[in-house]
Amino acid sequence: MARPSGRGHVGDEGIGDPDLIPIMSIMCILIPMLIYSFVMYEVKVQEISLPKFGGPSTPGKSKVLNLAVLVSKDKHIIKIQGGGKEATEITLKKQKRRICDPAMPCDECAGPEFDDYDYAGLYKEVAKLKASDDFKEVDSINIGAEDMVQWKVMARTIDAVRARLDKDAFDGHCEYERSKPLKLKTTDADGNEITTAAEMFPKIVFVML
Amino acid sequence: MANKGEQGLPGLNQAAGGEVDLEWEERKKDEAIARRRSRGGEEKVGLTITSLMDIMTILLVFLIISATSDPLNVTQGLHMQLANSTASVTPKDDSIPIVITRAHIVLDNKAIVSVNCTVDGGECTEPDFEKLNKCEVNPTDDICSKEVKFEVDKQDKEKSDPNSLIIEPLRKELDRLVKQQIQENEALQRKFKGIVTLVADKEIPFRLLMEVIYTAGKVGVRGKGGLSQFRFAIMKTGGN
Repeated sequence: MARPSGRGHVGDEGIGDPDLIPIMSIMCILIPMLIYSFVMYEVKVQEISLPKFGGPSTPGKSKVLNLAVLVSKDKHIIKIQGGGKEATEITLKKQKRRICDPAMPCDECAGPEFDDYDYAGLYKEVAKLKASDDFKEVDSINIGAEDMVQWKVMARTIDAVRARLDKDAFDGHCEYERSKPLKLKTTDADGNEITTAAEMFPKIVFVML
Repeated sequence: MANKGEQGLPGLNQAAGGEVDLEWEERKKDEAIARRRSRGGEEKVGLTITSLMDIMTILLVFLIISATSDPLNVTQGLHMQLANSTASVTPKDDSIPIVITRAHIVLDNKAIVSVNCTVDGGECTEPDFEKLNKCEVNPTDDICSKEVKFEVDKQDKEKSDPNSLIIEPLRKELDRLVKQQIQENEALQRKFKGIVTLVADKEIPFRLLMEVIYTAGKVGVRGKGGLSQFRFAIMKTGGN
């Protein structure tokens, strides 16, 4: 005769709920630990193209009109050369600005005054060039810097030349800092409406001076 | 035997108002407690933590997934602060990350090369790094206007030439890593994309960035590709 299965009797003995308190204790340690290590900022990437080492053999004789932004210790220089035109330069020196509390209006900034690169001026000049017939179809820009220029300055310079903002010019750095990227509504291949960021020179090429 | 009318059945004593109803409910509760006690003696009223466990488990799974799914797991600290930018391209997990901190160049979680920091000719100290990290909120601090240099020792350069753009230990390690990835991709019948993501501290100078880019650009296997696409990790900011 077959022996009755023991499984059926388990329920009769009345096994209680599992003791969850030790598991809870582990979770109470694990969760704050994970929250502490949780990244609260958004990491994105900025694409750049390979640097071009060495310039053209005959400078200024290039058939293609080139736009370059050079960053030195105290200024930005916009260089326009090639395309059979005379090379021109626009210099934007560092300017005095104040740290501004985001809750305060721009004209009431009362923070300490210090010298900073004129990113608002750089954006204004590059936007003007982009609107001109010479650069309407151009999507790349060369960016170079002196050896000691920090990456944070380069990143902000790239921002100033890459994307179009909600205005073409700003009164000061504070207004520029608070501006938003211009969004364009377009339709994709399926006919759905999509919103994309308007760009000026999305292709960034690093060059060595 | 007590009949229902004596116990004050609701509905039958409507005329007496809401008070009778309350009294009846109270009595019912007492009876229920008495019944429970008679059944199991002094019954322990425990805390039901099953539902709390459910919440905790969901939270734990969510946190673990968020922590592990980030292709660029950047830990910011004294020696690593990302630069702010409005760039909005999402990082992908098919790239080789090269981390450039204020102390080392890190590849594959290994410190490959030391980075020397000097401020006004003297070696940088931890308080200097702390002050540098606060330059954006306190730009009038002395250190923010001083020349802080971050460079690789000339012994780590190609032929020990300080002007060389090639960082030799980085080139060797990248070469090994690229060959390994090419083999892995071949085995999986995938194309090696050759993307590098540079996770650089915001204070790193352009020269050092270019040295790393140039070194990476020199790595590759003829006919099978090399490192040709470069991306910089940044911390996304809303405006400009």
